[in-house]
Amino acid sequence: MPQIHWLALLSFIGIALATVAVGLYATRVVRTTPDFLIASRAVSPFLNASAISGEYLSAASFLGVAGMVMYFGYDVLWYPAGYAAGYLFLLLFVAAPLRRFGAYTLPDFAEGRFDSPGFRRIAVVFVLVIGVFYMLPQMKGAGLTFRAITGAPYWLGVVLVGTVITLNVALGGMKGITFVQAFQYWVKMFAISVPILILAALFGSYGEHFQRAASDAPLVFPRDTTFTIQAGAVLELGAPARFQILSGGPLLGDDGAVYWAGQEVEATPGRLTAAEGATLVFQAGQPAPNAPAGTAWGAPFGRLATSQGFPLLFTYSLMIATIFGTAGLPHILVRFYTNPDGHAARRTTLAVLALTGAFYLFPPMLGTVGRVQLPELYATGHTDTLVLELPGLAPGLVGEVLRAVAVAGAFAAFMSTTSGLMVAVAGALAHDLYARTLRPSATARQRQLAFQFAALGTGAVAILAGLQVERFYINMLVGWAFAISASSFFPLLVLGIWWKRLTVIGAALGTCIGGMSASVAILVTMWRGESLGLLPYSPLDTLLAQPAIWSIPVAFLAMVLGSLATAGTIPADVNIKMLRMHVPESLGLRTDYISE
Amino acid sequence: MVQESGERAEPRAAGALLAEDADLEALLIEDDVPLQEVAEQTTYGEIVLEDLIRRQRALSLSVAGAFLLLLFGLPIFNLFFPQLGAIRIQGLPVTWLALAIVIYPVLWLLAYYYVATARKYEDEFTDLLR
Repeated sequence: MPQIHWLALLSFIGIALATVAVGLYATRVVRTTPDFLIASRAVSPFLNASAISGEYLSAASFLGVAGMVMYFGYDVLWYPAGYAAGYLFLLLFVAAPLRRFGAYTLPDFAEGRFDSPGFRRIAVVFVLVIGVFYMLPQMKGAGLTFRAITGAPYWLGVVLVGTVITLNVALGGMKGITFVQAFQYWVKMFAISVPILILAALFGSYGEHFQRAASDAPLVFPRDTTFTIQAGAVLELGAPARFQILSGGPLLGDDGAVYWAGQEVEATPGRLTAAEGATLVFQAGQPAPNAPAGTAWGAPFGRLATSQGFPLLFTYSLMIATIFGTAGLPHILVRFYTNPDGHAARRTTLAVLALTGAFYLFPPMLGTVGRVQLPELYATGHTDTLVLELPGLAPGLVGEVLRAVAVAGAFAAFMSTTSGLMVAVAGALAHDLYARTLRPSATARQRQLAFQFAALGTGAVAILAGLQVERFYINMLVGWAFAISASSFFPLLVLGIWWKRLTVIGAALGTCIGGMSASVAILVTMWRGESLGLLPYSPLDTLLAQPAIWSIPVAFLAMVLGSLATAGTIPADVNIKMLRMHVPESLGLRTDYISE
Repeated sequence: MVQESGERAEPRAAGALLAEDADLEALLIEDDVPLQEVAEQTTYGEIVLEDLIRRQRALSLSVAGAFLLLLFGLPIFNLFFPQLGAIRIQGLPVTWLALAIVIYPVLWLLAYYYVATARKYEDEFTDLLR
């Protein structure tokens, strides 16, 4: 019987209400469309950096990394390292010039850089694709978390959280969201650090847990543990185990043995399948079923990299996707507009690096401690909820409070990222598609309505798609969004900002070829049903599952060759554009795209 | 720190800074070097701007390169020197410490260096044109 964690549920309701309340408050101060979409540029750098960090740290960072570290160990560390490194690349190549260019969105940049409304439309398509792809893991996180605290089915969490976010975005726009996201960064930071620090004080240090986690000896339950498995679940025992079946079952051994409820089981190493769902009790010291081996867990080129076929290839392609994908994320780039000038954009990014770096120190620690303290999650298959379950280990009320804190962090994570994405996508639909392309004569009020309708539509799509992705790891889904972004917008930004001779044909070719090939590779992978380790891998499979390592070079190549081939179309005023991007504002050359 | 916008640049003789770059040394230093020249894409203006862009690009590429060398080098290190990577400090292997902890302050320090240096280049450019 799933247990409802009331304090955690209250925590979710609290965060949802606080978010909506701030959003509604913001609508009282929101007047014009620029207000609505931009948020005041007088936002302080600290607030801005907190908001960017809040928006950036999604379900993948908050829930996904720790859960994956618990299961796969060392190789997962590339994900948070890549996410943080992405910000460095954003700083180095994009931050100041993009701000100085004055473009609010990526489609703005696409049109403005080449004076091409046609290219704007292409850019909008990719904003939609990347935005929706990136919303999927957030929806999954929402479904998981809601189920973890109430036992309610996955779809209910997706629908509930999706609806709250959609309404909040449609009503409040971006202004309310800045405050909300800054607040949510600090909730997440608190939630990822305080519970684990308390648990470390109670149960042992990071290093001590690592020794235990990475050792050769079979992983055992640290205390008497009761847990429930679903019908059809498989338990793999690496060592002889003794346990009780409290209820449900029977369990069928691969040697033909049948174990009924009420029985004390003495099982030899092998597999047991649950004919029906069952509740099991293992005493302290008994080996944990389904636990991955310690030495491979703690070392590089473990199960994650090898199950994808070619460890080194997989590792590099993953690194490349996460690092370069950040620079092309539409909801992040929009944030640079809220800085007063280019240098402020750099300094804000520096602060973001500090805030996100500090955050990422904790998930691997959670994964390590979780492996040792909550091995039943291997048996139930719910390692993704580690961050929510681990705080419950603290005794009594402290445990429930910490669990509520963790839940607050989780919801803060997907609410902030999903809101940001939704604003970027709805903004692209309203501002780029509707206002500039379909109906240039639209009034400000009509544009605001368009935004609200677009937000509702996007929310519906996100919820429906989110219901389909339960079987994929959160970080895999994020990795895919990043791969598409890295293969489309990243090359566009880098070459558009730093290479005078990029032409619109070259840029369009590169964006489309890179983005589409990455998307196709990923869709094929998803359709084949890849969840890790299900199928044997050939190099082709690895390259399809992690396309960045080839799709990014393809995009760059297409852009360069396309531009060289159409060199005659380089605009005469390209120097002015370069000037705008690279010259400090004190020399008086700023233009803005939102000027009504 | 908010930059003032809309200021008209004052003409001024460019300093010895120009002399450092062989490309620009040949250019005579005039008393009147208005920003207009840069905007109008005259030879001098184009060259000064391209020089700034070139310096910024080189800075970004070298910081990026340094970081990527470290990051991409780690899997190679893991592949060829696993025993070194496995050395434990406070219970955690060196390779785990590197990727789970040390990388974050390193990232930040590289970023800090970049921000300070990029600003310096821009200040030098601004001085050149005022």
